Amino acid sequence: MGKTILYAKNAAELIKILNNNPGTKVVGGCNRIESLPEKFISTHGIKDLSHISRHERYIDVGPGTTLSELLAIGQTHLPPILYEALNCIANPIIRNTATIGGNICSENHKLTLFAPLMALDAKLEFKNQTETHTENIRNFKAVPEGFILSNIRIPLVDAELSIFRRVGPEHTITQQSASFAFLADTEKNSLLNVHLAFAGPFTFHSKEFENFMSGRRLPLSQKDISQLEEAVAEQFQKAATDQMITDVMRQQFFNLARYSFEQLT
Amino acid sequence: MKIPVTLNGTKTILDAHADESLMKVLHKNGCPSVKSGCSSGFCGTCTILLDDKPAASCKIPAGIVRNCDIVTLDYFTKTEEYSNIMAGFQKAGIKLCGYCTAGKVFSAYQILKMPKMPTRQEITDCVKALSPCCTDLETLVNGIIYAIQISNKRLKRG
Repeated sequence: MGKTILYAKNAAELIKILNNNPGTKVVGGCNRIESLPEKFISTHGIKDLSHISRHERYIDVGPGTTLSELLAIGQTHLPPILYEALNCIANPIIRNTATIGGNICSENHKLTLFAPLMALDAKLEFKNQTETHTENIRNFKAVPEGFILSNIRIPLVDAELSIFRRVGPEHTITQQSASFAFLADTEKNSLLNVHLAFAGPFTFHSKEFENFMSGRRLPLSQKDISQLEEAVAEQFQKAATDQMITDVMRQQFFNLARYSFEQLT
Repeated sequence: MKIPVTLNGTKTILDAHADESLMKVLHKNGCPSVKSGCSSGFCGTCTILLDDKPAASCKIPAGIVRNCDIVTLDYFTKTEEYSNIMAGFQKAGIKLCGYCTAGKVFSAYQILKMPKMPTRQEITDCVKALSPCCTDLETLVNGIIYAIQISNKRLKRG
């Protein structure tokens, strides 16, 4: 006896089916066929969850939008860090079916787009039959019971310094996989805005550290870099427990953070 | 469960479990070109066109393709696009081994459909992860560029 799939024509029907069938999980392009839930419903083919609308300062993307459709918007119309992250996910054949919603909502392990979207300060919109609420992706843990992810709002940030790195094995997701994102904007020789995010077995983002870094005069001195390294390490250690992260991954994060700071010297 | 699809231009009902891999289901339904390779969606051997886009059938549960249009290499070989792609490959000296044909042909098809002429780098990015079993990357990119030229020439003549 195989697993059960349910079908919805549109977002409203999807919410209704979820309410009437407790335990049903929403999935995206189903590229993780080996770990499908017992009862699932895919966003594949639901048109009102596959929208892309471009605005002056942000783009609204439906969770059922495939990574290829998102890439097709073009390099000039997407934040560079997001374009780079999208391009390093699997291959075009997989990206034709994998969705942004599936990438964001992956349980247990955060996938490639999570860190760049945290750095970009993306907002997630959830809907149920009666209400809609918005949450910053930095606070996102899981889709609330009875709700669906209905929209992802991505600010069109074009930071002066934009660094994205994927760590872990290429083309597959393991416990060693994670992504790192760093964005920095400068004004009159000082740091205006800084965003640093890391996502994999756990997520790391520290407003405290970003405030500590913002406002510093450029170029950064060696002393500044040492201070920043110490501060980011302290915040990172607070967020990551030994069960979550290996020493190798911890060191990879520190190396990437130092590399990012050095670009401002 | 019964899954209605259009398979190679014919409306068909697939009989499969919702979580069964589409690759196995298609193979059982008379599409010998859909083969099992790495089972991770990278080698390209199980590639099909799902609603006119290349997809790794080993990673797709049969349940989600309800009402979709599926084209396998068995049928695609009868199209003009296939002739253009093979002519381009031949010009570049590519002799496909058979294992990877679907991945390479359908990736080339997706590139041929791009609205504007892709750069060499863009073509390389699209095909670099495919199995390099019988063709090196540079030659494959050359083959796709030749296929684009041949396709454009035929379009102009048409």
